[in-house]
Amino acid sequence: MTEREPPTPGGRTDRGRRLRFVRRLGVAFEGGVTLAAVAVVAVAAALAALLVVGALPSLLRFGARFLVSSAWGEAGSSGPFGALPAIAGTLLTSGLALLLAVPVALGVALFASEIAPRWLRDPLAYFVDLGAAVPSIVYGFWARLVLVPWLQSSLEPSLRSATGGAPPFSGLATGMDVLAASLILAIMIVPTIAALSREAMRAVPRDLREGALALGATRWEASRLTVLGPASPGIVGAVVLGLGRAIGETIAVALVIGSTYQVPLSLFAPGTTIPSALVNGFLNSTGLGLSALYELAVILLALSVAINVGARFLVRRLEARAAGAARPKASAPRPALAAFAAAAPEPGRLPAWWARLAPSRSARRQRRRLVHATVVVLVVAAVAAAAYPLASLLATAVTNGGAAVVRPSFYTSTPPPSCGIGEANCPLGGIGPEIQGTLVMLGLAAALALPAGVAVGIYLSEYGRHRLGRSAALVVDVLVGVPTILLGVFVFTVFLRFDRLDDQSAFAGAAALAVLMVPIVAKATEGALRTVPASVREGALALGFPRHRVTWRIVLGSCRRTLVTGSLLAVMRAAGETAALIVTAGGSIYWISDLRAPTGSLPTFIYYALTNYPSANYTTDAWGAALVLLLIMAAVSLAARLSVRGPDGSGAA
Amino acid sequence: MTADAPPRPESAPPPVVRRRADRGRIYLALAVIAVAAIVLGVGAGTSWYGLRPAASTTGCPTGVTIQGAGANFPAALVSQWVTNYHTADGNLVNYDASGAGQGITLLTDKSVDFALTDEGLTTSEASALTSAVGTFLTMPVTGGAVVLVYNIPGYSGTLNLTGQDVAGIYLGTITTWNNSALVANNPALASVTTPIVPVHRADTAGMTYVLTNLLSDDNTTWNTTTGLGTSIGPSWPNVTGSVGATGNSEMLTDVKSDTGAIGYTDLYDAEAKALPIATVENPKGQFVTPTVADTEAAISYDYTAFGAGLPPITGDWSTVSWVNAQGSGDYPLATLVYLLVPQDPGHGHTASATDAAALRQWIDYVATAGQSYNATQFPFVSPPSPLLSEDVAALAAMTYNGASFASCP
Repeated sequence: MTEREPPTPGGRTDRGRRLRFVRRLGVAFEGGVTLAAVAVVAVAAALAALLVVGALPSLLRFGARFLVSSAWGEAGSSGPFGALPAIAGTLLTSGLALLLAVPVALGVALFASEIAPRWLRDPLAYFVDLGAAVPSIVYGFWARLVLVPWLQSSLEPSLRSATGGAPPFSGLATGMDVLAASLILAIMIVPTIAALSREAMRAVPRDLREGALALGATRWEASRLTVLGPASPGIVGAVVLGLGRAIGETIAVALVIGSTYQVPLSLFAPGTTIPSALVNGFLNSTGLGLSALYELAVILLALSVAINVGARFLVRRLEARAAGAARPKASAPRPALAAFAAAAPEPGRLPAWWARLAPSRSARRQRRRLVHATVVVLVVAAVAAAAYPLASLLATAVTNGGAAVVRPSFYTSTPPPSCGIGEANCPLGGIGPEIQGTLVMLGLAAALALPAGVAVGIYLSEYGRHRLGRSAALVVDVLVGVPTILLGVFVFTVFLRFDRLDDQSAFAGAAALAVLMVPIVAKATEGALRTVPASVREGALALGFPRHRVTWRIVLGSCRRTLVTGSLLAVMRAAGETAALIVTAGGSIYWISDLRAPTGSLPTFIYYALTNYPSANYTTDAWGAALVLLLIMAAVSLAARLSVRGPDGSGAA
Repeated sequence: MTADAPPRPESAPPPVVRRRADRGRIYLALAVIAVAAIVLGVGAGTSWYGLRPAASTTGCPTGVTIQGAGANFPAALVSQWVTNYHTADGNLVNYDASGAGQGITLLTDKSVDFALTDEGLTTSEASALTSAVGTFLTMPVTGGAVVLVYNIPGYSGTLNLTGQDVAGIYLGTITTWNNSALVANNPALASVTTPIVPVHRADTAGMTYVLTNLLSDDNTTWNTTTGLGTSIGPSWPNVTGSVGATGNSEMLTDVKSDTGAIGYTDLYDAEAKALPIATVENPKGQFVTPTVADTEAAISYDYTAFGAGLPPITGDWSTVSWVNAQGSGDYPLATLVYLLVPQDPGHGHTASATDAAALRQWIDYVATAGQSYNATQFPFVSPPSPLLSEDVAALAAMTYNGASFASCP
């Protein structure tokens, strides 16, 4: 803390009093943000502790056998229980999804950042961001009703006849299997990986590309030589984040994987994953079976922590290596560029292998053009592959839900009773209570999570330089990637332990959403604050501003728009959250009369329509709810994109 | 936070140009959020949000929300009951039809006021529930047929199935529709080479209990390897091509969309989704099409056969089964649906005597006026009338924290 001048001796003057006040305010500010950081660490510790305590009976009973056993006894029985099918299903589906998604996502990123015409880049980026924002229940709904029938009737039979039913493609094609789960996971993580990779590519300074282009490189060569290298830490980070999302995805997988507790030996075999086993079993298991589910949750938590910590480590190493490679030749051209310059047409200096490969100059130029054209074709194909599912999803939602959303009573009525057989004029109903429930739980969660998240972000960026700061940063990183079903299980367990609270309630739902939002807001705040140059802080401190005031008014003030965008994105993620709300908030078809009772929301309404209420009027309303969610996401994404382009925005321009 | 900025040295320009109005707006937003948080927090503590009117002039509460959970089997009927009960008496019943197993768990957790199940509680379930909420009542409130539905493209005849066939399909010994065991009762299947996709419930479902009850009765292999229960789901026999469905609605979607599929659901949902329904062989060797009439006949046959052997409403219902009734023309996959409620709701989820009165009024509606919906637009079956009378009699004996409470007309 820096003061403009020492207080007057005696300190009884106005100025002395004011300075003391300002100093206390500074202490209170630092204390407040530190408290928020401590609270986040404490919540994370409680999460791990409660899961482990829940898992203890199963841990003691089965020990290491739990990991290799495939058995799963009846609920309420004494087992035996084993985790192998769930672990195998989780790793298999997410690994396969990653294999499918990474090439497509990199193609999309390359197109959006390097190859697309300038006018197309922003709309494309918006479309990709929207894909990342579509709630998983909507992906799952679409996958169950569009993707699965297509798999069963077209893709899987042709795969089988092409391979003659060889092992990975053996068995009956049902469309509800490991392949379906992997495909929907891939579709869901492509936008995430693509958006982050695109940002990493865009962050590479333009002058390198331009230098390569000036030397005669094609656009692909320029990108390959100057962009991919420096962007690779960011791209690796994006891929690992995609893997984390795939491992934790719950609802979309649970709806298409065919929920069978077995180790899948074929892509056409149904299976299960840890998150889907949790969402299917958590609310209806007791005793040892419940404890075994807690142990599954612990395994999932360990997987996600390992991935996050591994990603941090890997990205650091890559960044350090990239920086180390660049340093010795700081004044010389970048190595890749130098290599390109060395390979530039200068007949006397060509190596022998080059001359063999490219006998004449014009033949070489043709070959380079061919490579460029091939890359463009591949990249455009990747964009098409990524855009098709999203377009199909939007079209299906509009076709099935369009009639519902234009009906005013849809927003003000309660859901309908089931139609009797042959009943004419079946009531259509609406989703009024679900909209209300979503708003109330989001409002409660935001009231808690936005200030707390901003405080944690301030702490991480401005104050946390010692051990607490480092562990808080790690905890926030890990929490961002923790599967939401675990947050649901955690909050439900807390409410169950405190007998005076109802287990499923608006409060529990809001608590789960708040735990979901805090780390996202904290990361966004930290990132925004770090974009403010140190010179701004130093200048303000030199002018005599106390530190908390520099942080609050000057640093925070100058990145406000980025902060608002980050908070909007956090609220949006919470608005589409399904798995945690199924466990903590349940569902309701009535307007809220008690915040301690089960409360409906848009995502859980869709889930219940798909699992419990087959009546046609429900299904139509569920599509309407999906369309409403999509429209909200589209509007918020648009607002977020527009807000970062304003005059003081530090985002993409 | 409102202290003025310290005076700046006159020569230095302000470090960052900001608009005061913006800052004001942020403070305002933060203030609004803080106030909202406080109001909501305090409100929750003092039950502000209860919005519960006291007992009306007739002595009956209105505006009470009653929480229930359990079987998906009668979900359509319950949604109709709920609507009409709300119109008549002004109380709200929120029923979560996520499966019988979940209903029993939530009742044991004291998360709901009542549960519905299509199986009598097993001994271990019953003892867990008793230790949580004390004595509880098992009240038959409706019933019906669990039906086998299928999807065989190009096949339009009836499908006759025996218990042995169904066990063979779910055990994986019968894998295509032209299996000789199936063709024996359905000659037209001889040309259908489509593989069978057996769909089962992956969650804890009462309908699974009813089906596995029949399979254990009819097939010794099934009885020794798998047995019966609601939660066979996770340990269902692993058969190539078999698929697990979460919830009854997903079961219907799976059967409707998957070529060669067979699954099980309730009669209402099968008819509403226009799925083909199989006839099932009964112990007399007749293939019976499930209807309200022959399901009702099966239940009343069994009811007579039980005689005095039927447990009292507070008794152990774990061995009561309504499948494979021996009467001529009886449908073999029949079941009753039981409403479970603590005899003293004060020991469970129910928060006040007023709420308990509303709960009792709701159950009374279900056991009396609600019965008129059975068999008409909703193909469910009323339990034998003596059982319904016992329900109503048991309601009168309910207490709230040991004391009797006001009854409603």
